Amino acid sequence: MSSELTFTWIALGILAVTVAVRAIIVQTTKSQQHQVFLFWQRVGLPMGSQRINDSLRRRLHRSANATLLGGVAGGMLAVGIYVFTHTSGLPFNFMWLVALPAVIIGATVLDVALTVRDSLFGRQPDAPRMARLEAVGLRDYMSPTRLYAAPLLLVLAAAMAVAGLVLGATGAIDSGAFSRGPALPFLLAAAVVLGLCVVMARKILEQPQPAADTLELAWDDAIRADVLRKLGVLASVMAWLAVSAAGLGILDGLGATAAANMGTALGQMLSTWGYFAVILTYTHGSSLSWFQQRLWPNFTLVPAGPSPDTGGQGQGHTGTQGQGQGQS
Amino acid sequence: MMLSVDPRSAVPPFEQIRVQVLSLVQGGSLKPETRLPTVRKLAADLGLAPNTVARAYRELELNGAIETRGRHGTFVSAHDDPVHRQAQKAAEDYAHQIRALGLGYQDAHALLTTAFGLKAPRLPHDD
Repeated sequence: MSSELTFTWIALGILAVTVAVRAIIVQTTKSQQHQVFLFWQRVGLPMGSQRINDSLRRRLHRSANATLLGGVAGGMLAVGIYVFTHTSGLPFNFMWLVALPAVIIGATVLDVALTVRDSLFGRQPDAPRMARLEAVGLRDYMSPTRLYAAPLLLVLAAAMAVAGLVLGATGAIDSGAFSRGPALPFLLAAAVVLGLCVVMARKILEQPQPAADTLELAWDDAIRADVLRKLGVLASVMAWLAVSAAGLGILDGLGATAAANMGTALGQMLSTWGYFAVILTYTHGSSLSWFQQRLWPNFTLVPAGPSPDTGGQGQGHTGTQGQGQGQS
Repeated sequence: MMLSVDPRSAVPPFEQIRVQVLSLVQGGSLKPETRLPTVRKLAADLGLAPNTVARAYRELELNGAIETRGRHGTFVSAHDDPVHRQAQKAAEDYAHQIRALGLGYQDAHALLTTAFGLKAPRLPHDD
């Protein structure tokens, strides 16, 4: 066994142990409560009651398990491909164009599947129920930058793929090297993933939001915003990887000159930085507070009130009055 | 803008929805051109049968408070002038009294036609 192969298996072993430890840690109550605390800090809504805290803890725990399980399934698929294709070492293309997408897709898909069949709060048979009286859309949960990042990156990837094909047809680059590379399959994969993400996002928006008061509805919105954010990350990362694959494909087509080799190294570096830039776009700033600006600009805790009588005027509740009221 | 339904109330859920939406529209809290949730979505959120919400929407549409624009969805009607609002309120009161008397839409329509001095139309149940 070569030292390179030994190193690879040692790295995989360390990764497996890390995942196993993480899987054990997320089952502890302390860790679950810490997740609630972190989420609460990022969202900034009042916790309100023990019932909300417990519902959030259970939901975040299930989400962490789903993400972990999906990530492990994706990772195992990547390892399978690694072994099946007799890849040696940890080449850039394998890590960025196979392993990373497999893990992210696996983790996101299971989490989204959980959201589609799960709801944050249950419904008590005789308790008053509350619902929002305005239709909401994706732009209520994601800022324009995050909403349009994936489609724009995909358009860029398509433009670069067309450029690569044109350059290959004109003989400026080696057309065989470009078309044999991962650029075109990755573009197709990114387009399919984006389409599926849009379908899943619409499905999530159609899901019922059982709530007994505005605070429960706001927390349900927060969970929804988080899952839509994860879908955004998935679609954008895939689109960015398609851009990277097209760019590196063009550089590969230039041949094995010194300038091309330097360009490839630079392209790989840009690809890595771009990946982190995409992740940061979705994890920092208003990623979990945008929905509050749109849907709950001046949050007010309003319990589902008594029913209006038939002769009087109804009680419509606005969720946008009295800034800061009801916050604990 | 929130809507609440109390399942323990003696008032039927469709009526609770109808009265609240109408109040919000008339009070100006629900702005014209606001898109309302779909029947299915609102029913799911409130834990009601879709037919219950559909009935409330249908009656609100008859009152002119909301309008359905095919696949684009249901919107608050763009009638925000005070005269129209007062007329809508009068119509609402009339509909309430008619209901209290145990009569239906067709009876109300026939009575209105007579009140306006027009010839009463042939109603389906006259056949």
